[in-house]
Amino acid sequence: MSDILQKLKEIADGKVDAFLLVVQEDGVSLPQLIPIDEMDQIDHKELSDLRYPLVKIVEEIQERFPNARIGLLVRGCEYRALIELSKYSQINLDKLVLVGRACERNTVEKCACLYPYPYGLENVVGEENPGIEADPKLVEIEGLDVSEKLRYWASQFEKCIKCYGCRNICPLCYCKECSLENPGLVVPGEVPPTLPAFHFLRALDMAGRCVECGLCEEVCPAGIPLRSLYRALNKIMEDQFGYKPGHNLDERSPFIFLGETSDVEHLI
Amino acid sequence: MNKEGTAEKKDEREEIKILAFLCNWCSYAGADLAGVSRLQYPAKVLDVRVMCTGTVSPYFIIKAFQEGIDGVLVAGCHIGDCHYLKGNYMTAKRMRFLKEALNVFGIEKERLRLEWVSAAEGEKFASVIRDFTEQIKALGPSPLRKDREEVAKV
Repeated sequence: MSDILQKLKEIADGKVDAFLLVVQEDGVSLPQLIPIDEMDQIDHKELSDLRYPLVKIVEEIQERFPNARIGLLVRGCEYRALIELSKYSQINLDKLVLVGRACERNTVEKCACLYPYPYGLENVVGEENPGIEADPKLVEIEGLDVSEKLRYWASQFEKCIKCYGCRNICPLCYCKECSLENPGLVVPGEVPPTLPAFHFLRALDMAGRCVECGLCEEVCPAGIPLRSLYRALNKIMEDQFGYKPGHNLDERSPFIFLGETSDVEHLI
Repeated sequence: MNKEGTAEKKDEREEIKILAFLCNWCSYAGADLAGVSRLQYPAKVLDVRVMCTGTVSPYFIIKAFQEGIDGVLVAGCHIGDCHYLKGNYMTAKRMRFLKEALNVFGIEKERLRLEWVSAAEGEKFASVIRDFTEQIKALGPSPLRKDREEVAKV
């Protein structure tokens, strides 16, 4: 692990004010902000393998200290989240020094990840592992017919305890006012939430934004296959508008600009 | 099927509710023209007048289904005729996406319809409503209707 940190140190030397890392201390993985003058400490740190919503912390740091330069280790999903957030002006990529980290095979399989590599990043540590070809859960859902799908989702969402964990951990959920807390849309105090509000509202918001990191699914205490739902919607985005969130810095989601007549002509 | 069975079925079918989001500048005027011209169309349509169909959020449509609406019609100005120049571009993109999304959720995509109806097209408005009502009747009541407990019974 230490060679990854060494590489980060080399690349970021003189370009950053602090490092933000998830480190392991006494068997507990925690995020730590290490200022540059305490850089020697890094040599003694043990890097954690845990996937942690670091991007959310970066958002918060940049909001409070817009000029802080931060060094970060990013996985494929985190890099996509940073790209997507910069399109919504929530992250300033110029102030970040990024070193990529290829995910190991077992992580790829555990996450059922399609793109486990920070494509497009200059400095990446580790070897590229191919992503899985298709999300098995999504394939299963796609095989159902319309009424079976509704029954499937109903049985899944019935388990929801409305902890809002999926929203809280999502790197792309940055809104100060959340539609899921709007009493007109989601009835307060109702558990499980009535179909189709809550999950479908959130799913619609994730379309064209979700970078498929899967933290929502990982954190969900009820084990609802949220990522497969968001993946299904992302697939529609790709089929209809050719847009894949987080893959290209220059493309924006079709839902954040009006566009020209040629953009909508084929839709009519 | 006996006589009672047919009657019951008819009752259920008559309950069909359709929500129509009409844009203030074109489709609402089109609906008005249909009314003034004494054109016949089914009365089970609830009109909601919006300034532009671009303001119709997917939230509204999901909420409509949650409240027991069987079909949602969104009608606005033709592309290029929008009072706000490009408001309906967003509608075109959103509705196209939302139809497929409804399919993923397990709601038939035919329950959502997007039409362009101008202020002069009273006849088109009436025929769209007639056609859409027939389509929804054929599909039957929405599976999410509160009075239908099927979904809850999983």
